Amino acid sequence: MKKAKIFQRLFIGVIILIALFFMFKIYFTNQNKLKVSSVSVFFEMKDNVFLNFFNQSSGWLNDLFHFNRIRYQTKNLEEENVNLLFQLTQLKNLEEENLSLKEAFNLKKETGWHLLPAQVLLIDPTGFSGQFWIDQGQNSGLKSGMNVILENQVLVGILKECFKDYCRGESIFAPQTKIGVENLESHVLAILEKDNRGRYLLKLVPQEANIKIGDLLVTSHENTNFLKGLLVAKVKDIIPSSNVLKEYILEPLFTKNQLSLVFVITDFIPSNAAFY
Amino acid sequence: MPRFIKNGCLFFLIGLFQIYFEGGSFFIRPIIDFLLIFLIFSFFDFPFFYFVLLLLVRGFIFDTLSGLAWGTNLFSLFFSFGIGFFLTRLLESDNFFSRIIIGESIINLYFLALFLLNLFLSHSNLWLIILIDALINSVVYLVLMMLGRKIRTCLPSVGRTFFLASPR
Repeated sequence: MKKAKIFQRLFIGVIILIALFFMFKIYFTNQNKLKVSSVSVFFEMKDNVFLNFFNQSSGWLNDLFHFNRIRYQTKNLEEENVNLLFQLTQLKNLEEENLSLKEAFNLKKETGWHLLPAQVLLIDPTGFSGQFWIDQGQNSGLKSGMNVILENQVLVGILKECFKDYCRGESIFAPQTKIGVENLESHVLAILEKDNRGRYLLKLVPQEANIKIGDLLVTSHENTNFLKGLLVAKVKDIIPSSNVLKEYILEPLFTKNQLSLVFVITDFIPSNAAFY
Repeated sequence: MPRFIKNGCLFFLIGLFQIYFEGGSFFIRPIIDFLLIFLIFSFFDFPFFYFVLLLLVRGFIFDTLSGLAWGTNLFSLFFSFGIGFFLTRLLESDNFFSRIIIGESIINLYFLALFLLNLFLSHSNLWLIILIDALINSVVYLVLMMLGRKIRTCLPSVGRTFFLASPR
């Protein structure tokens, strides 16, 4: 009787294992179909008032818990705004001079990038990867590897996978992000790297490099994945070190906690796009 | 039948809450996985095949949205709840303390599986975030179990409505 029970349990266990094997096999084979079907369900619900309420209350709670930081940031931004307005008036004169020189030498007008607006549908709910989904896909001419930015040319991330009507992107908050950057002021080239604690570090900076706190960093020409000239981060602090190379702590310029609208640069596909 | 519908609706609502409330931010940060905790509570009270369906739905939605290697979430769920199932055979699943042990084991095994799979498949080291996640979710589960027990003892009618089986 006991033996029969053991055999019965073993038999059920084997059946369950076989069922699990086939289930996982089907699961992995239909990966793309499952991804698209789950995203399209959320796409249908995207303008739902109830779900927007969840999203907005998440933002509201985040603001409540970071009230002091927001207050401090607002104060700093007001001062920075006044300084920038002053710089803008000076730059206006330079712009007019530049235009007249271009006309005098008959230079062609620079064409900007071709930007496709896209709405962010979903963001990673597990907090592990900074992944997002947008509502444009291959039907709109998008391909994996295209860069995603905000309207002020701040880098958001890169498209990893494109389906007919949706694309999956990875933001710069993804773990182990590495971007080649250039200091706008001193044109020093370095690497922006995210460490395991979630900090952004500027690495491989020579000792003699002139980098100050507050300097802006843009994507450099050394990147194969990113277009040159996209705003990435600013220098926040220096890490004291006696090594040959210096390191800095950076603050990313993409700081929006929630986002609905991004732009995809459709002119540029990295050379190793096949790897995505 | 009504309790399956009730549970299914709650699962759907909590899932939407998880995706739109917790998933409203780009930042890498620890979160409370309400859906996982809900699944642990449902694990004790619902039959095997219905529960596997819930696991499948949760697994494939989070595999789609999380950005980890495809199958990581699903495998971690099946692994942790599979071990939980064996624990219910060893321990008395109706007992309050047994449920705490089983629930905490499931949570920690789930995050351990996530960490290891992510390390081997994606080669990205998320140990700090996963560790904080495991701690936060363990504490939340414990608090909810204590609260649930208090509610069941103080308000039996409420307990019958919202907690379908009362552990001793």
